[in-house]
Amino acid sequence: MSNDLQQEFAELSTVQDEKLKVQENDFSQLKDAESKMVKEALDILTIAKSTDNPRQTILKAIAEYAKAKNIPVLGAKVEVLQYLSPEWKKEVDREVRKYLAQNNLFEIVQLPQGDPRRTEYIENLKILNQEGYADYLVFAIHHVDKPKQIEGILIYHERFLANIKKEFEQENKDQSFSEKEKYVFGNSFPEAKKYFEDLKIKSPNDYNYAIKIAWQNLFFAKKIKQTYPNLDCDEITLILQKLVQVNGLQIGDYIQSDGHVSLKLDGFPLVLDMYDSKIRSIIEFGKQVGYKGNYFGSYYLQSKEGYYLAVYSSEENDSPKQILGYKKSMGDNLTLNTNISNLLYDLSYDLFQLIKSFSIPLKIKLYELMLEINPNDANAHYNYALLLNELERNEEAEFHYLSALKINPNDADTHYNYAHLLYNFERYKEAREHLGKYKELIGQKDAYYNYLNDLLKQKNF
Amino acid sequence: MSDLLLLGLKTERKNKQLKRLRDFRKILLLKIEEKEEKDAEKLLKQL
Repeated sequence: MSNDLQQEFAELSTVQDEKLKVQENDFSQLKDAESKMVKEALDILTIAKSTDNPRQTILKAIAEYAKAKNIPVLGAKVEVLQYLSPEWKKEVDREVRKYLAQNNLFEIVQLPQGDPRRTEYIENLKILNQEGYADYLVFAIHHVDKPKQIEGILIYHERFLANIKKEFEQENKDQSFSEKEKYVFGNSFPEAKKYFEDLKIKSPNDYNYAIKIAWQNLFFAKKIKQTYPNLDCDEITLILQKLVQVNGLQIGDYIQSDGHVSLKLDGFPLVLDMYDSKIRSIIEFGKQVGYKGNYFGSYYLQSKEGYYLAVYSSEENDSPKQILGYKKSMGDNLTLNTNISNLLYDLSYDLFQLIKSFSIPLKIKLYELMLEINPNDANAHYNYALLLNELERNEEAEFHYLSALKINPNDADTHYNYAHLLYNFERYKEAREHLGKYKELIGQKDAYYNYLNDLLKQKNF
Repeated sequence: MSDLLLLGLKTERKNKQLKRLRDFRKILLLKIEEKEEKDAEKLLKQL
């Protein structure tokens, strides 16, 4: 072995050790926090039980808590009461359901900024989004045009959540290993089948584990698809998050890109595409969604400001070192991506296509709401800028392009579209700079680049 | 790889939730105390 390689291995092993140490530490911290939560909840219930009317005491205290934190009472219940006991959780679920059915997004966006009902809605939405109710928002937003059905749909969803774990455990017990094996092979593309076959020879233990994981993921993917055939990728992502985070199911990480959601089969270079519920190699999946690297990490993380930290990365960049670096540099800024603005964004495009009468003015109101929910949402700024651009409200468009770039300076599309706007403004020098940045970020010249490049050349820039 | 980040985030979330429960407990105790004081006053008046 060459010295260089030896050194590289030594470094890698140090990094791996460090990673393991951090992981062990993190895990014990998590367990510690979890058991403290359980104890705290029990203490609260015991204290309340010592009064004449425990329920009333808790409700009065939560109203006081909401006042102290300056948040709506529903938000306070979501923040605190859902964690007290399964009974309280059920009650909070019911209230959230009712609230979302009674407060229709179409109505809320029409209210002027500063309207108390609108402000309360925004506060509640932020809390619901953070505290495990993003999936409720999926349905409330998806079915915004059918407000009377929302409550029923949410009840159906609650039943789905309550049953899926039981159903999984039952089927897991009922099916033999060879049945699972057959099922996995029946739902795999040839390259994935080959991977399984090779693994069976090389490492039977790993093979057994791979079949187990693949079967498990297939079970959840098919169930979600079957229960909710009409949800798009952002919506499915949020349902998956709920299953992973709240219901504690062991589903692999998921990958989301351009209309695809896939589950990465934990520890194996395989993914399960939610669209066809088939297992393929991660390389093939990458090719399909247009990425060039040969390994794709699945990061559904965003900074507090709302942009992705890392969505995909090739094997080369996806080192433990880098991830540790991320953690260190981002610290408190990391939060899970349960961003509802993607849902609102989808809504503004899909739904308003169907309901023409709402179209532009409502779209604008929706973007205003999105930016009120999260003023640092680069995506919302960018898409709002595109819309304003289309409407020839160019000064406003420029403001939102610049806001998007301030939050996420490395978004190629924003640079391109802003360059185009600058061209229209006859600010050719600046347009050239942003076009240059676009080329740099996509790493090549493409048809879009050539088009604007030609226009600028004609103007001698 | 992202498992590591997720673990840290889960812990951070749990700690935040724990802090909220603690804040709530303080308010709950305060409310109970207030009520007890009021009840005691009432009782005194009745006597």
